[in-house]
Amino acid sequence: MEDYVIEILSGITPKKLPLMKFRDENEFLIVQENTKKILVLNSTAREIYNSCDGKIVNEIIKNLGSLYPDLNNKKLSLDVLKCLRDLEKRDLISLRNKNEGITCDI
Amino acid sequence: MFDFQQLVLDLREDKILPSIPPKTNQIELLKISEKMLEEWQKKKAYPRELESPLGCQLELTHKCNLNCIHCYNQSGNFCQELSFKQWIGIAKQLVDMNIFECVISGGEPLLLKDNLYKIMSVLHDNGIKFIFVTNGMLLDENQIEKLSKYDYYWFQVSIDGSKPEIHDKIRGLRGSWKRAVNAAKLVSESGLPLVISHVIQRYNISYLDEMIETSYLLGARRIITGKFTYSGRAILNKDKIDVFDDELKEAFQFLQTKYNEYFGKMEIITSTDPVFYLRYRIIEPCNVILIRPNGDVKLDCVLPFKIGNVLNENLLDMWNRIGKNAWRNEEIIKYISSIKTEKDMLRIFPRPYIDKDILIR
Repeated sequence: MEDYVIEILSGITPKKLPLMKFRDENEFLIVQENTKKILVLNSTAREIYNSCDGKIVNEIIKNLGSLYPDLNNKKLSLDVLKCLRDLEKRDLISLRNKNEGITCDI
Repeated sequence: MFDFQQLVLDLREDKILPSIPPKTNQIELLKISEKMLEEWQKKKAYPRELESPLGCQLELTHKCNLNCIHCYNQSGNFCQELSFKQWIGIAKQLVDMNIFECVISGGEPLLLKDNLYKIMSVLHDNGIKFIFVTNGMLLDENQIEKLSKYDYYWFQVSIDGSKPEIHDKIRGLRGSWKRAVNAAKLVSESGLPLVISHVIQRYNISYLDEMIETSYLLGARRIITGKFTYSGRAILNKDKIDVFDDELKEAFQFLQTKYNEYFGKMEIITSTDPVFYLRYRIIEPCNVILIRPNGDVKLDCVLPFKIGNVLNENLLDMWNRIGKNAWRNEEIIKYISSIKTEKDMLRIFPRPYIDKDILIR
């Protein structure tokens, strides 16, 4: 993967979209997607999802990097970006530049 | 008269490119489609011919700011072009014909600057939805804002490599990869339905994995990929860009795996192989037309046949005179029958977008 692709995506601000229902369960976050499926986010995905509180992608990567200092930075960036796209595809967050997201306090 | 069954039987299964998804026996699909359509048409559940096309591709200009090695219609070469006023007239005719969708392509359509939006507005204001095809070179936030007011089936940015050195070599301009990648990001970020088009050839066939990953990260809803078509500049450059059948089979198997991996997240679609496509088009009632920058009207972007020119005849008259049944024209059937494998397109005359199109009457 070219660094440039990561670079241009790192300035995006992911925004949470309204959830129908969610449940905090130990290290997991169980959410009901708008598609009415139940999705279990593991601790990393949950951390990434919870970081979508106005931070730009680059900040989310840095935050996660401090939790996993042994991880290669490029690999971490790629994993975070993929996770964000996965969350977007499930309508949990928006990566658009319009004001579609809302503030969600979970 | 033509014998469709014979046309299908002419194909040897092992000569047809693998297709994903779904993995379909294409010959069976053709037979089933023909049978089904025949039955429906007998029951009057499906039309034998349409009063006007459902869609139209507008090659709004032949001009292009890139010089792609595989360009199917040799964009960038000199060609007499219709004026803006004439395109507006065509847009109005298409509105009167009550078409549903329009493919906006070129050349590079964004080279038309504000005239592009005036043409699109005429169509949009009358409920026509778009497929927009661009190389992304001129796409910036200002253009995206203007383009965002229209409705799209999809918005296509062509990226032919996961790395700048591959894409730039294929597209003939240094820096074009960065522009295309930026354009794709802008499109998805603005909420337009981003589709990445990726033409497989010798220079990029080994990098499909990275290309798919790049498309996903850029927010594409779909990547459409497949080998280049033997048409236009791809014929002239075939020795440089051609791939071996085994390599291609392997690539398609890989795409099948990726299709499953990305299921529900991003569609991975392979372009239809032209031999199958041409036979399929004969079955269904003619439903689309293509208008070239000089006003020539064609049935699609593969066949080297034209049915007239907008400068000489009103589109609806042309449609009624010949268009609606043109795929059953004897010359066209004969031409298609002689293409039994994709490589026949290199030997046949006229060759698409190399030799002069034949006017059918």
